[in-house]
Amino acid sequence: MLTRLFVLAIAACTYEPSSFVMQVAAGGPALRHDCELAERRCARCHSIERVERAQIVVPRQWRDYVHRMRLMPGSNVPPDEERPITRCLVFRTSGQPGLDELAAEDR
Amino acid sequence: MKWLLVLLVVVLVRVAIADEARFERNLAGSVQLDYLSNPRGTAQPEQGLRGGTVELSLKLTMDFGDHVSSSVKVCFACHGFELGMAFFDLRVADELNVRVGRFSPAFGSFPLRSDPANHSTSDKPLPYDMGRMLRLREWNEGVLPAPWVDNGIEINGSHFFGKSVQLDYAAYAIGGPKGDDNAIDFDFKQSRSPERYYVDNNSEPAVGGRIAATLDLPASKVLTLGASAMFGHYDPSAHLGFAILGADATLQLGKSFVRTEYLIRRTELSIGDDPAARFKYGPGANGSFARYSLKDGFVAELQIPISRFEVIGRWDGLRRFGNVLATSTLRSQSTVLRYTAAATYRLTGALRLKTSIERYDFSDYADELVIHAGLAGPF
Repeated sequence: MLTRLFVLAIAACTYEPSSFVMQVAAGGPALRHDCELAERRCARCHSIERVERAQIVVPRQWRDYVHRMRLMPGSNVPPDEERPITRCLVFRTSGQPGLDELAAEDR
Repeated sequence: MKWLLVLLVVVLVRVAIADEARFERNLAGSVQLDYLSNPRGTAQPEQGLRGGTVELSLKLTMDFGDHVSSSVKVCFACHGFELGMAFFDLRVADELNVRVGRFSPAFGSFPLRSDPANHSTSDKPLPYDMGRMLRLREWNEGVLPAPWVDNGIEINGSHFFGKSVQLDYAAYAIGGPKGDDNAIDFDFKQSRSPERYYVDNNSEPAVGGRIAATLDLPASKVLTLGASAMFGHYDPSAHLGFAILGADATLQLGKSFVRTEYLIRRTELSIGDDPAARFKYGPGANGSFARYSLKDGFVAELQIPISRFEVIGRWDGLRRFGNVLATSTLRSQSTVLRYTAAATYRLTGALRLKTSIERYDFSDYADELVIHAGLAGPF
């Protein structure tokens, strides 16, 4: 009985939605998906905390940074995933105004 | 040589006409404070870095438009301040980047995560050990200490085939490891010694490279396979050669990782004028003293995140084959195996508590137990 409870507790901990993703709950399901992708890709080479602590608030700088990280060996970030990952990181630091600024620069 | 010059001209022209109106900078860093306890302590104090150690890094990255960037990284650790990076990246395309300056050349998988805030154990795998292993002086550290920082030039790139296959490649020429003319192994202190100058000691670059493929597999699985090599001479007269080969495989299963690596180094040694007195063992069956030694190492690691925790199980080891100096406590075939159980806990923000227990199984010494406790995090 105790063993089952222990395993269930570990399983519950394992499947807890991460704070990295939960922080963009207000952005809607599309952004949540973008952040799930960002967390999966970014945590390959370093902790997600390094992304959370990055001193980047300018949307264009996030785009350049994601591009640089994509080109790191073994990043497993194909070109078409740069945009959704960038959207997640921009929204986390700058909200919707940041996304609007990013979209304006891309036009 | 001509094609290399042509390539450099193309790169310089391409980046020269690129947009340089934008300048962006980013400052980041990391800190680790670690305490190593060796409860039984049968090894002498100088045979392990017992006690507290601090590793601090500060990195400034500057972007000059889309095609030129620079990075400077300063580290402070066991042997004081070191320049971990000082290079320019001149990027023509994703597939072609030229890096010049001081950097860690592409070798293996772990060096990409050698910053203490990027890996979950307090120390590095034995093949890449840089001083935390017990009996570090007898073993002369690992096969290739990480991060290996050197001056030179590297051409690298990355290409995606569709969405599921990433190919990374790099080739470089660097100063290379150093030793004396009568050396039997690398002298790593010479590579970080202002008195010896941070320049190539034999005017002959060491060369090498890495190629790796990353495969995005179904069901949240990602497999990376890599192969690395480095060759050169390490003595001032460029007579003593070395060759290092490496293979790595990393499997990502959701948020968990299985990481494996193997390194082997063949190092030529100077037998000197009186090898019978210099070495512990006599000549071989052919009547002559062997002029090289072999050192190899492996690591296999499983990392599983559970909420704010991470649990890590690691098995690594080193082997050395070859003659040793008469004063050495190693033998002609020596082995060390290490078994590590580790756990980290995310305390708050970016700060993690790192703990681990390591059991050393030496072929030539008593077994040892090491306990690590530390704090680490990026900023």
